[in-house]
Amino acid sequence: MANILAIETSSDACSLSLLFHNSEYHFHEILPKQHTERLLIEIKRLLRLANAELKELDAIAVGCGPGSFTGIRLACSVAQGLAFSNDLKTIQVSSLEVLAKNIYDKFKSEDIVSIVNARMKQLYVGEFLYSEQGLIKANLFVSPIEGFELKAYNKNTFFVGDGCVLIEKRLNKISKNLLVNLPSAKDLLELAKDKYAKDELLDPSKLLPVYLSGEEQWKKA
Amino acid sequence: MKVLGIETSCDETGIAIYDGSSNKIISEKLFSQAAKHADYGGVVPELASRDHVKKLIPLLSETIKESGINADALDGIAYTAGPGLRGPLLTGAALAQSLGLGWDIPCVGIHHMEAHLLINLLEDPAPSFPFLTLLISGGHCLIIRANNFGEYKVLGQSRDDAVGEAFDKVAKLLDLGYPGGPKIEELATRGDPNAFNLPRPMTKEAHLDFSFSGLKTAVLYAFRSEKNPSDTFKADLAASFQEAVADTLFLKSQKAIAQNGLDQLVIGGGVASNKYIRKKLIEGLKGNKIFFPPLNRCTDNGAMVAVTGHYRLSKKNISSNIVIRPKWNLSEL
Repeated sequence: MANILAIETSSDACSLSLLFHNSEYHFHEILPKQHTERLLIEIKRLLRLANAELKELDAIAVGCGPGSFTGIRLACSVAQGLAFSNDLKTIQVSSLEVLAKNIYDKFKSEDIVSIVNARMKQLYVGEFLYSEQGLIKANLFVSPIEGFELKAYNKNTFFVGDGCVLIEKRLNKISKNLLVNLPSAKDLLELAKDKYAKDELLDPSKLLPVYLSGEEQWKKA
Repeated sequence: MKVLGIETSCDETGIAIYDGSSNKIISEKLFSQAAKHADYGGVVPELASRDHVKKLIPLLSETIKESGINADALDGIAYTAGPGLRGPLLTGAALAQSLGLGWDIPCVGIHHMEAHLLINLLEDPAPSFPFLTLLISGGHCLIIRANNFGEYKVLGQSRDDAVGEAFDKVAKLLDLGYPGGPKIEELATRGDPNAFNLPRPMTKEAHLDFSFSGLKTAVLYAFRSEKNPSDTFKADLAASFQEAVADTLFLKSQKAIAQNGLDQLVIGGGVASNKYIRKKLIEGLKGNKIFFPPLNRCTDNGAMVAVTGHYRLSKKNISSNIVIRPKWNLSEL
């Protein structure tokens, strides 16, 4: 199997997983505002733990967001640098899909909605539909908290993500399936294995954050 | 020693490789985001950060390719750790430190102002220590005495707006767009620099600090006094403003030279690319040795980071973590 380092820092969780010679190594801690100072230290620690060298890896996978702008840029920049310097490929994964993957693997739920707090009274939303074969449909968008439309969901829908707490009462009326998780590199790694097998690999220059929100909001009226 | 330099403190993405043995930049690339930020009337830090992440690796690939050396011939990496905008600084810092880890070479975060200062040592003739430096840009306005590598004393600085900021604000007032420096310089060529009697702030005092907010306000009042400002009126106002800035910079530089008994003055920063200000300083300070970096080295660039990194790496004061210092003071070096 491939050797893959997975980096997920789109939320307050600083989350890393390493697959090396068929063994897995994980680091997951809630470290608000400390990703910058901790990320490289923890990557080095994980590599040492596995007795692995960067050049022995095949790919670096990143949860590219949406999420904290600083967090997703940090993960992408670090992955770009590590991959560029060692001729590695990179794998881009949506952090919303990382959240959904956890629920799908745990509960086999087929209708999963990831909801992440986007600040500025907005939500990042990912609607994921699964069958026995895996993911069949994904729809990602930004919605204002106020106008977030819930009509399409039902009692079998599973809501996941830190954005759920912002609209908990409304979600509870629809479904009791609700988990306020943060995206984890362990789930990211599972998705990255699939993508690696399907050869969905990018050159480091193509590995970019996914903001979902455009540049319009900075235009002054 | 060959050093890779990465600059991302504001809205320029700069990459360069410096070879210490020949004291030459062997290749460099620069991408300016100015056109993008023009739509927003100034630099938007979030958008600047987004662009850096897009541009860094492509520019790095090109720089290495054009240098004719292999990446494994690099001995170290330098990035701008501050002062500057937090988000943009972080993109360069994260890339630099992860490249350092990936190539297993040392990486150092350098001071942006020291970089503007040391880039002049590449020129022929180059200034020799001790010398004075006037740094004038969109974010800074400083007079520094450089006694030696790493030994700097800030003699004076702006108490409010940086000089380039004043250019941007006046340009906005005259509806000229962003960045204001080149627009005002162009319009001023058609105006009379003596049409308006504008203040030369703090020039009568012995200290070397600057203040540009009063001058900016004086321009505002002059502008408001005219109900239908014609193109000539605007050109005269732009020329008078530029003249007031040039005069202020000249008077302060003259004072610094006299007070310090030094005859070498190095002028750097984005505003140093203003040809009118250059001419005024060269003519006014005749008899002294005035150094200007070439135009492309006045504004932010990777070359100055690589040069400064070379000096700092030889000192071996290095951390292998991602560290930025958005409000780093030069005197703390």
